[in-house]
Amino acid sequence: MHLDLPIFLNLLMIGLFQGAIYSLISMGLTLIFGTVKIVNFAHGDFLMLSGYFVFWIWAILGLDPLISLPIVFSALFCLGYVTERVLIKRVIGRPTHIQMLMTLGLSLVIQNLVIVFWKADPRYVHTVYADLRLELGGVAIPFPRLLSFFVAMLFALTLHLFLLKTTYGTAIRGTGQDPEAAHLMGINVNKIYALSFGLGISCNAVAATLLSTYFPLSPFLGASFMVITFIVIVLGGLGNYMGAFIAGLILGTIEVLTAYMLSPLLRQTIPLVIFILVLLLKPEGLFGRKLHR
Amino acid sequence: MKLGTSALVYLLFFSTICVIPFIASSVVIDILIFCILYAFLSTAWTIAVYAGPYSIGHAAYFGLGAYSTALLYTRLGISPWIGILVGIAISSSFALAISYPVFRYGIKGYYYTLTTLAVAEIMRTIFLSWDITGRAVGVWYPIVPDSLWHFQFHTSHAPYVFIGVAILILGVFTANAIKKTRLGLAFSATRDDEDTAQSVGINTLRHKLTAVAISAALTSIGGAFFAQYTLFIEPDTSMAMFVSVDILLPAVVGGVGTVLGPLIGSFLLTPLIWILRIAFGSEVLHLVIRGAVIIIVVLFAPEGIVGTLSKHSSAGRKIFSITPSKPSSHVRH
Repeated sequence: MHLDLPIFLNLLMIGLFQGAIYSLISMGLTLIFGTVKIVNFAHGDFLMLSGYFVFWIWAILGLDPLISLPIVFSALFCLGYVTERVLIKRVIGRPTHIQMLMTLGLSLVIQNLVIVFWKADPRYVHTVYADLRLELGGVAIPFPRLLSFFVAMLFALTLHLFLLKTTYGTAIRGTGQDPEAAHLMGINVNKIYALSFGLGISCNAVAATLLSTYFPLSPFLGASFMVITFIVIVLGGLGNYMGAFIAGLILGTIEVLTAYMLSPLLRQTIPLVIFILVLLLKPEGLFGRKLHR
Repeated sequence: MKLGTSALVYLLFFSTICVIPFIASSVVIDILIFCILYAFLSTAWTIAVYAGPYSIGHAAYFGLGAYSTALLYTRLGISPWIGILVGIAISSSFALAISYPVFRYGIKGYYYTLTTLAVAEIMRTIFLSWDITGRAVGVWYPIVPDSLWHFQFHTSHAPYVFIGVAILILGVFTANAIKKTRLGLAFSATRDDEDTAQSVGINTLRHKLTAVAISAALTSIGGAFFAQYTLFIEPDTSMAMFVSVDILLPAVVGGVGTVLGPLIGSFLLTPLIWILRIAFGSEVLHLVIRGAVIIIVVLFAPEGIVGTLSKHSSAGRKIFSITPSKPSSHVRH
């Protein structure tokens, strides 16, 4: 198909905007894996749940999603912390399939409880800036998407600095690398597990807030993002949050380009094929940090 | 010999199932059909787990079986019975083609689980966008009068029970045969410690492939049976992730890696879920229960009903006639 430069640049931009959301969700997921060593199959459902938090705060209190972000972020952090304390900690260090079943069960419960309580209809958050468009070199950019791209970048940077520079960040990274050594260094490993689970879950709050400004919410929101975020974290190298950040951007772009050049229906197929190829040929992820499996 | 009593128990169990259609209402028969189907599918799934890690992508084999049968019948008029055989051939060769590189490159743990999920999702997205498979519309069967050749029964669903019992016997027989022979020992040696198994001369790659191929073949029969029962299939009901979860759930509840586990799991869980469905009328409450059951099993009986009972009491061990697994060094190949 013919592809000239302006169209390509436009697609690239849409892809990066989409990818930024994948990056956010995946950074949380891979942060949890990096520390707690659990792939959280319920991650997408926490994303969906935070979407509903954003929606209800907007619907009842009339607060703009970006203003309610700190509230939703803290709420999700607490939810993640409690979930770890009540359920996840019981399966840490257990065989893979036990951990997988636990989070799979959790996913079924959350998603379907939401359907029971709030029905399956899609819901929309209408912000004042929802219809704003910016003209840039003959291309109209929807303002909410541009805004969410920048907020996503800002959050990713903040998370990176937090993990790199603060005491808690160092403790999280240290626990991920070697829980026993971290324990010997006086780190309360169990607390760090809960903290990183909470932090990983609350990345969803940011993603959901940004998504809600242009994307309909439904109980299936999590399920629709789940597979793609799994691909992202493996491409980035399981547990490597910067890898996940970059892989998210790449995958968003690949998805949009596939949809335009091949078929919108193959949008998901091509990333999945890439995923399997990477697993076979370079299982430590695109960015080559060796991981003990 | 122990084989005698357990064979008697199975005989009693299967003949009881066959009597139910003559005395029960049509709702009970339908529930019974799903009990049988999921017991069979879960048995098929657990055969793959005899030798390797958990798969959450069995929906791919289920869907391949369902689609092969449905497409051959609706497009070419070929009897579902031949379609089932074609489905077995397609899904087991597909399983081998996918699993060979996966096992050869040593994909393990979460990487394996995510790969199985990805494969099933690739199938689903392709079937959703492919004209031959009817895209999202799926495949609708023409309704014909009751006929064994066309594998359609409308006046009474009882024949589905009898055919279901036949394939369930096939599944249980296969699982039992594997367990009782050297193949089963080689499978469990491969699963428990691949390096040690290799060091005593077991070709672990070949054994893992064998297990997956048998499992895929049986799963595709279940898919074909499902298609013939519902007479309508689409990618989202026959290849989505929840199909894989439904397939593995009875085994997880009953006891993974045991022959009885999937049967017990399915005959406990399926009626429970249907009763809840009928009692509450909710479309999704049974899914909440399904999730809660998984969490409860993981927390309190991670080895399932059979596994936990036989671990904690000698009586349980006797009932389920489980002998402690022999050391893998006894297996030579």
